Amino acid sequence: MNILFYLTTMAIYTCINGILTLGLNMQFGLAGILNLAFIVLVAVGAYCTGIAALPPAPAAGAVHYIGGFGWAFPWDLLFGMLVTVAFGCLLGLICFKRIAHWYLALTLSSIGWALLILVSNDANLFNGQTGLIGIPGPWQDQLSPFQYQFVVLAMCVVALAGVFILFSRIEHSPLGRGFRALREDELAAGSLAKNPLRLRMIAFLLGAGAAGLGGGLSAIYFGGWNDSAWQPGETFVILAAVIVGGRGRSLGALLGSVVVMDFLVEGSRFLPEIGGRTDLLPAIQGVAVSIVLIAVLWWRPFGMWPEQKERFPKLRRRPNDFLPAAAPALGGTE
Amino acid sequence: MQNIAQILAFGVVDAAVLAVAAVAFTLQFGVTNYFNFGYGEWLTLGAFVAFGFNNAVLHLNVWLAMLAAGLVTALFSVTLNRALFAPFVARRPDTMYILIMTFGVGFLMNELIQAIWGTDYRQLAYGGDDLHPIGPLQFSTNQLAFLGVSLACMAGTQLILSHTRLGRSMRAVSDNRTLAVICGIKPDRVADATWLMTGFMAGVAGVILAMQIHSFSTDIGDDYVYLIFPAVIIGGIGRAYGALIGALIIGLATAIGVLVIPASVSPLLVFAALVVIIITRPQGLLGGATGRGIMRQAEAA
Repeated sequence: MNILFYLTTMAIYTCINGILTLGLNMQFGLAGILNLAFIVLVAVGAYCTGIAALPPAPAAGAVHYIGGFGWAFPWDLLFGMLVTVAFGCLLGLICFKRIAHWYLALTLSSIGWALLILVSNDANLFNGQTGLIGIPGPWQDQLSPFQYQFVVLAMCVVALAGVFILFSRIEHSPLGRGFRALREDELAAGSLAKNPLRLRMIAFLLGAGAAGLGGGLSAIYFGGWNDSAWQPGETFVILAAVIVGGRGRSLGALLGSVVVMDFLVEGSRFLPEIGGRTDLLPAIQGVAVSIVLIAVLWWRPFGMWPEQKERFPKLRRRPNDFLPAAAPALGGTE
Repeated sequence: MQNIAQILAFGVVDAAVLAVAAVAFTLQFGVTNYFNFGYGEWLTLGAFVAFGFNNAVLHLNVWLAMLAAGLVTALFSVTLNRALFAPFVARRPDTMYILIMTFGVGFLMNELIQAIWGTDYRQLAYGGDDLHPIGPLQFSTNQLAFLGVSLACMAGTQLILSHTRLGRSMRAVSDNRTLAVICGIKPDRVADATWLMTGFMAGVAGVILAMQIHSFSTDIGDDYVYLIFPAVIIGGIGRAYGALIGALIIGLATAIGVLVIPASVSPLLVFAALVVIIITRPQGLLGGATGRGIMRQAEAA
């Protein structure tokens, strides 16, 4: 039973990480927006899901947060996602029209980090560094912790499957090809009547939706959320997953999230302790992830499972068939 | 009134510390054409190397430790540039990949520093803080020293940029790399010299920042880039004077802001300043080209 508990926990983590990696892959992998503040979107989703699910904060006492609607399961998650998308829309409206490429990366990360410091400093907004605690999950009070584990797992699997199907459809659709064209050469894409602003915004919002969903699910599963869960390093791990797996390919991103988050981060948990220092473990995890990322960037910049060139089926009909059927002027024989 | 003047004076001291870090960041970008997303860790490295010299074994005077930390960080930067960044850039990867590389190296540095020094809060050992009245204002000894170090760094940068052959080469490479190469400037050497200079300044900035906030952990650099990057963006990226002005604006704005709004929401001011500058003047106050123009330059290089 213990090992089953561990395995389900790992499966839940894998699903949530998969959703987040798919979200960043949509933004960075397909549309080329290097969003180093991705974790800020995740945090918005988590906080908003939390305040939607929690009852109102007691008027007296040390706990302060805005909202507190006490909504039931699907609505809190939806609220978190919607607010994240709205927040992404705001960021996009501020940034996309005027700046792009690496300057956008610098600006987005500056804005994200300013917000991080704001939320952890200010106790009134989301309870400061303590964060939100006791976020109720669906049917959590009626189930044993073991049964609840499976409920959350089912939710996460459904969410991951939904995001994956949607995103891999988009990847091969004209919209996805537009994203890639924009990523490779904005000027050329623009001259082919692809509106860079619109495409960038769509990709950013799709990614923000996935971020909000993943953030909301983790807030529900952990039952809490505070600022230590959204340090800049967290974005780094997700970004490493996208790069290691294969930028611009949904399956590659999923593979990357399994390799980086399950094998590297979780796997180093099983290493023997060195010199009795427990604080060494996070450092070793970080070192492993960054060395693998640097190695992949050096030797295989397109990842383990790179994006394929789009292939189109050959035309089955002869070129003449595309002419209007009744066109005697062209000398048709029928 | 005197109170406000005093607060402004403290804002100038904050800005002086920030300016050293911001000018080094923007200078390195200007010459190498990609910025260092892991820049915060250079400050962390400086602070912890100084801690090593100052506290752990050698018990050096803090100012000597600062010089030593600057030198160590400078040598480290050049080595890193020679071993990793320059060869990687020579392969002409997408600019984004260079940024991710610097971000990854920064992350690696942070984790290694954590593995060596642990996550505890540390303090540098330095002398007592006497107050000195200057006109109507009061400064502590260390604040005056921060101002002095910062002014020395700025003056040194200015002298190097305007009066030496190296400085002229740096400006030439920054303005037009191709033309500079045609004129016989070796951009690799210039890049090495730039990393040396900016690494030194980053190390020094880390130490004075550590002294200013008294106790620091391995997050010191990460927590500070959220002021450095906005300062650089506000001033106009790649412009040394711009970074100076940006640092002054942010230092003074947060100092005055504390009078109006609670200190806990003062990051909101930085956020607001960033949003205003992006909407009204995306290239920054001193940026010559438009936001897209700067990007084209970087693409062409």
